[in-house]
This record gives sequence, C-alpha cells and structure tokens, in this order.
Amino acid sequence: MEPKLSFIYNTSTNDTAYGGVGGAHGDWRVMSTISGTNIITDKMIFTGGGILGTLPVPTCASGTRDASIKPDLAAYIIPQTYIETSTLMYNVPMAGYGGAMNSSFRYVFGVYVNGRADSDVYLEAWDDATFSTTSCEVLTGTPNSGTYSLISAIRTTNNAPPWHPGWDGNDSEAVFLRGDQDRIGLNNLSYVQDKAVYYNIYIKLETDCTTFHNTPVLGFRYLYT
Amino acid sequence: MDFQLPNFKHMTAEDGKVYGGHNTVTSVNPYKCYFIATYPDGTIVKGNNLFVTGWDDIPQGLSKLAYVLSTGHLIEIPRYRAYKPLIECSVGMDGSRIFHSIRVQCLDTNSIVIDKIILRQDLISKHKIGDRIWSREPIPAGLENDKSWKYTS
Repeated sequence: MEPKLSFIYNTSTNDTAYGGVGGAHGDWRVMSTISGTNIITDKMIFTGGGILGTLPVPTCASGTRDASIKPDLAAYIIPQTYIETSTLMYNVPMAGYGGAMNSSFRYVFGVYVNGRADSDVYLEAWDDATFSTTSCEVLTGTPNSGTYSLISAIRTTNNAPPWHPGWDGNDSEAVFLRGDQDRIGLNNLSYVQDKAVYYNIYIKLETDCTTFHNTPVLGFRYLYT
Repeated sequence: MDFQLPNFKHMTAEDGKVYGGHNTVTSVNPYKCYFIATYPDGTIVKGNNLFVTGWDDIPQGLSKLAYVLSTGHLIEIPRYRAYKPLIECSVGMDGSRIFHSIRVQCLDTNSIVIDKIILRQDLISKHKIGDRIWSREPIPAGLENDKSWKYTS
C-alpha cells in the first residue's frame, strides 16, 4: 500500500525534531491539502533581497514577493524561504544557512512517511509535473555555477552532521538538485517506515544568471508494495 | 482516501496525459492497473489498483503472476521461486504524481531478477507503456523475514 507523505516545515528557530505523526505539531506546520484529497495547495517560495530588502516575518500576506536582485559581483543566496498558504506566507527562518543567523540547522524541512516506503525517499527537482525534463535555468545552472544546478539540498536526517555554515551541493550528503541523476536520499537506508526524514535547501544566484522566474517542482520518488 | 491526481488532464479509462513545458507524458490510469495471482487450486486473486495494490494481503503459494494495465496490456511474469512487486512513484510537493514502473522482484536461484514494467511514455524516452526491462541484483539480506515476498507453490 502506498505510504502517505506529509510535507512539514519548521516555522521557528528551535532546531528540534518533529514530534508528530503527519499533522501540525509544535513549531512544525504541514503543507495543506484540499480536504479529503491529497492535492496540495501550499507552495515553497524563495524570495527577498530585492527592493524591499526583506519581507516581514514570521508571516506576511500570501502573494507577497520581493524579486531578488541579480548579483553583480558575487554569488548570492536568495535570503528568505516561505511556505505560502491560501492566506499567509510562513517564514522558515532556518532554511539555507539560517539567513541572518549565519548558521546551519538540521530540523528545517521534512517529510513524514506514514506507512512504509520500500526504498529510500529521494528528493528530486524537475521542470514540471512530468518529472522528465530539467531545462529551466535554476536547474541547468550557469557557467559560473560550474553548470551545477543552482539548488543545493542536504540530507539532515541522520546523526553525523555534515552540514555547516557555507554548505553546498558539493558537501557530503548534499547535492545540486537536478532530475534523478542529482538527487538525495533522505534516509540513506533501503526503506523508510513511520518516521520523519529531514533536509535543508537553498538557491544561490550566480552573477551570470539571467533574470529568470522559474517554478520547478520538488518531488519525492520512492517504491512501495 | 480520495486519490485525485491534479496533474493528470483528460484522464480516461485508458490513460492520462500530463502536459509539461518541454514534454508530454502519457501514463497508465493507475485506478485500472492491477495484478492477477493464480493459485494451484484454480483460485484467482485480483489486486486493486496502483495506490492500494492489495499485494501484502494475498496468501503464499501462488502458481502464476500477471499484471493488467489500463491500456489493455496483459503482462505475464515468468515463474520464479518468489515475487515482490514494487511500484515506483514520484509525488511532487504540489501533490502531482507520476507512476513510473512496476519493479517486479523475482527470486531466482542465486540472484533477484528485476522485471520492470514501464507505466509511462513521453516524447523523449525510448520506452513505451508495457515495455519491460530486465536486470539482476544480489539477493537482499533478511528476505525470509519480509512478508511482502510471496513464494510460489
């Protein structure tokens, strides 16, 4: 039977594990679905660093955006990550390097697997819901990114901490997300059962980026009986 | 639970389409794909669909295994000592979903044969729905304790 996945995110600066079983719990919220379905209505938004500087925290109105300015001298991490719901956008303050805290954290984003996946749960990034192409600029990268994707993601489920300030896709247990060739298993085991697995993620803009607006799909691939 | 597929357009009894910016994927209808397990006494057990397959609930001792796809393909799996079929699925953070394949793990004498049944086709991949890809893997540890392995009679 297919396991049920819940996409969870930590809205606080408390770097503590999720204690729930698929629902909102403590500082952790769950991306919303339409009642009675598994259609998800929330979105992960990378924004900030533009004319407004930073958007309000811990929440701001849904639809708020601050286009990040294309960097001129040095690569630039999009500074703010939100989960946008139908009414509010919830800031995830520990995303990436932890923003202004300039640190790195373990319990930021996660997936609660209710049931059993007979494989690891792999985090992947694709152009769209066909899960078949990686042509958008944030995934192709640029010459300055070494043609790596601009999205760095790191597995933070396990105890040994490879994450550190300044981590990127070249680090141990991290990847520059692109399709199913450059992806990260979130449990690093051959199965996941009734547990939460964790990751962190950010986007770094290079000086040779165009001024793009991309909407890639983050997806999770797994096997089940 | 109501398994709606938000990224599928024009879902019919036969298949579904997913339109992307650079590719169009045609998928089987996951509601209409299931296994058929046949037993020596003539009993036939039919699975449900790709969401709730029903595999873990069937008894041991089957004599034949086959899959029916919504496209009309009937795929018969050769006889092996045991089977454990796995559905390969991707779920987007937006709730979109694609079923890639059924990886039927087949216990052979000294290895596992993977009989992979393709469930999607598109404008790029050379594989079509119903195609099969075979490979071998080592026998995993702890197989005897895994109730999802169903042994043949």
